[in-house]
Amino acid sequence: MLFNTFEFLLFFPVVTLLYHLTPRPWRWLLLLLASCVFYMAFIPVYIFILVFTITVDYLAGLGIEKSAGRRRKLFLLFSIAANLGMLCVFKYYDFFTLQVNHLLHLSGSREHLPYLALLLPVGLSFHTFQSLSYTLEVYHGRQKAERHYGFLALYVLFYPQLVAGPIERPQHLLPQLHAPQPFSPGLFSSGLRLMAWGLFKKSVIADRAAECSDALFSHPQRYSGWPLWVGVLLFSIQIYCDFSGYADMAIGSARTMGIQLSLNFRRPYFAHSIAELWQRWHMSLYRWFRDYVYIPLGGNRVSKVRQKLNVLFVFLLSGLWHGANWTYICYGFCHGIMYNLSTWHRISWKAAWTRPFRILFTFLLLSLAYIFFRARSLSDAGYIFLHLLDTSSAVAYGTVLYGFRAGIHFYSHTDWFILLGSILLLFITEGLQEYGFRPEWRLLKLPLWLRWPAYYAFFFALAFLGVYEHRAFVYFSF
Amino acid sequence: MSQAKIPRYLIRLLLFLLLPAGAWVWLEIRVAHIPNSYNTKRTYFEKSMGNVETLILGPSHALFGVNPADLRGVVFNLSQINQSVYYDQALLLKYLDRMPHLQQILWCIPSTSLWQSLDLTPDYWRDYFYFHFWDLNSPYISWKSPMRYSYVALYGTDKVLEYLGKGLRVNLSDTIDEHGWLHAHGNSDSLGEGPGRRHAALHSTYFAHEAAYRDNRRRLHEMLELCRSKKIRMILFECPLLPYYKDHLNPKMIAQTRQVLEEMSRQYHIPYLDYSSDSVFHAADFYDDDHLNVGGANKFTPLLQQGIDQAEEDGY
Repeated sequence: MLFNTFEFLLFFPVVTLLYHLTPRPWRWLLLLLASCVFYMAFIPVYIFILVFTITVDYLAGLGIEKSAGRRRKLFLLFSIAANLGMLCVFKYYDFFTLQVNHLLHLSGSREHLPYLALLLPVGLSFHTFQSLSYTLEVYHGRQKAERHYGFLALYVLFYPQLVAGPIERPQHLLPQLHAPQPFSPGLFSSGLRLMAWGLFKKSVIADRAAECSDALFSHPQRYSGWPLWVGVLLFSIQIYCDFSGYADMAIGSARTMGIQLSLNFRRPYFAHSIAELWQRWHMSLYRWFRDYVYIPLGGNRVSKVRQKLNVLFVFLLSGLWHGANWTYICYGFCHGIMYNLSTWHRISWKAAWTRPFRILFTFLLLSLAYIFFRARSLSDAGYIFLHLLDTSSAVAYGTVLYGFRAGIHFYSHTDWFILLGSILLLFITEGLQEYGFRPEWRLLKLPLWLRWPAYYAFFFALAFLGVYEHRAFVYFSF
Repeated sequence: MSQAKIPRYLIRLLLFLLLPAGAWVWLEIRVAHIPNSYNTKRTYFEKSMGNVETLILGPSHALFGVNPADLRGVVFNLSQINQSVYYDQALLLKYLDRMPHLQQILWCIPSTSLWQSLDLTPDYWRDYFYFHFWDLNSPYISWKSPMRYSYVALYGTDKVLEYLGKGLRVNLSDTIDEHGWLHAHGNSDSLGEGPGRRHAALHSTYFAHEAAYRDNRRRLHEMLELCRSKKIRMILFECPLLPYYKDHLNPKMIAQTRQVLEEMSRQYHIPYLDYSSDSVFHAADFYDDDHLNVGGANKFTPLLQQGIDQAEEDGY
């Protein structure tokens, strides 16, 4: 079930209302059932994958807590092997088989390994990491093992963040599931507002931008010069609005039930370096890799060179986390290099007047790295990089404006107006937030006769300016 | 204590939603009454169905290409853009008993028709137009689709916004006459070899479903059996096409359709009139590469009448 569908429009109010009407001791059960329905709307049988990993982690958690020494580690390894095993089978097996088969082919062998060609369960990487963080936290002694199977299942399955995060830590989410909060009108309204804002980002901006970027990335060879730039820059906007829009809707829908999820984005396009970007973009994944991979590798306690190599390794892993393709590995590699460079040069760029330039430069670097993320293959990515500065096409088009039109001929003036207007609204809002001004708080202080019309205008924009073609969230496939 | 806040909050929320809900209902009612080719055609058809002697079925080729006024008797053109064999059959079954004077059916079957199921094309939204405006509840109507419940969703919010800008004073069916024929004047911008090739390639992809082929073949047999039992004469035909469209369609599709239709023509002893390669039609007769314009339709319909007369003389 997608957040931007009619099904969810029915599902959400029913579940939320029932949640608040159900006696508190039974709310976990209602949420668990609702989460199962939510997940099973995709491929019902895949619920057994989750049942398997939850059961393994439940037993591993209890085992880790009860045992000591080598046995503790064995329980942890058992959990890691089961979780990553699932991930490998569904996500990486065919990719590695393809590489092996290529090598066999090159060596002249006629043998080849068979492919599984399994459909990827939605949000597999997200709930695997969330599940793993439970056993890792129990292992490190920061979380007690959960004795109630139902609560652990709900921790992994909790529907708002099940398929695209934020990746929660057990010590943050489990206590909230155990002790449901009383109904709070303020929190409920704030959740609804956040959901509406998330839907605005997804439907009005991301899905409209996707019409152009999809066309350009599907057949990049048809374009060169400015049209490619348009596609690349619009994809940066699309991916941010798509993913952070999902996060807003996830956090908002959990908030209507009095459950607070972690922040996953903090205005990342106002970051002034790649290092800072990663403290603002997909923060829950960044923290996961930092705490469970980077720090165990030595963190900042090792030599500078080793530290940089560790950073590179972590980003390579994070690239692979996104998907089983060389393009994602290159994406991770780019970020690793850029992160290391930005931490080297951070000091020399600190003058305040350079900040807008650094923000733009960071955005530009990020957009270029996204070419690897979005391109269907390395050769497509290579073509785009080689033809971004193709001036011959710019000359052929005559003017920059014509170049824009050639690349985006499928957009009408109205589409452009809506897209650019909504992007402007997004960045103005985030810009104000960045400097401590909270437009949403100002809105709350307005009298009712002004506040409600403002909401109505927003809903009108949401209903009539959004693109509702059931386009899935980009990160659902990860 | 906190539970007590829920009813109060709900009342407030409902009050807040009252205005947009009211506005939405108003909009739904207004949008539902926008004249389109479906509801307009139904109105015209239901007015005249008691007298109809000849019924034209099929997709857009027939809608553009056959002017009922140029055929003998009381004729109604019930064809529609992308009307699949499923809907031809559904419409006939719905109205057959209410057409006491029906003597013959002219059924346009282009080579893409047999391979088409509307729900598998980008025009799947047309299923919901049949649902709302012809009351045809097909298996392709999903309960999950907002188009099932909302006219605004059916047209798309971007279109409705455009209509709102015009004060909702729009008529989407002004090219349909009271006999169900669509008047397309002149040539469209997309008339030409390049667009024709692309169009054909697109049709060969969209309408290439083996399962649909099997179902449509079965429907064709059912329809022919029904007509035979009711003593209604059936004439299968195909309208003229521009060569650069037809030549770029999937040849397997063309050959197989032709074979099926010729087989049925023999089995049921009905005429099959294929004008798709008729060389008397030139680019000036076409609106685009596979649709005749007004001039082309007025040139083609008398030819079709001659073909029907000739078939009658030949004993069909």
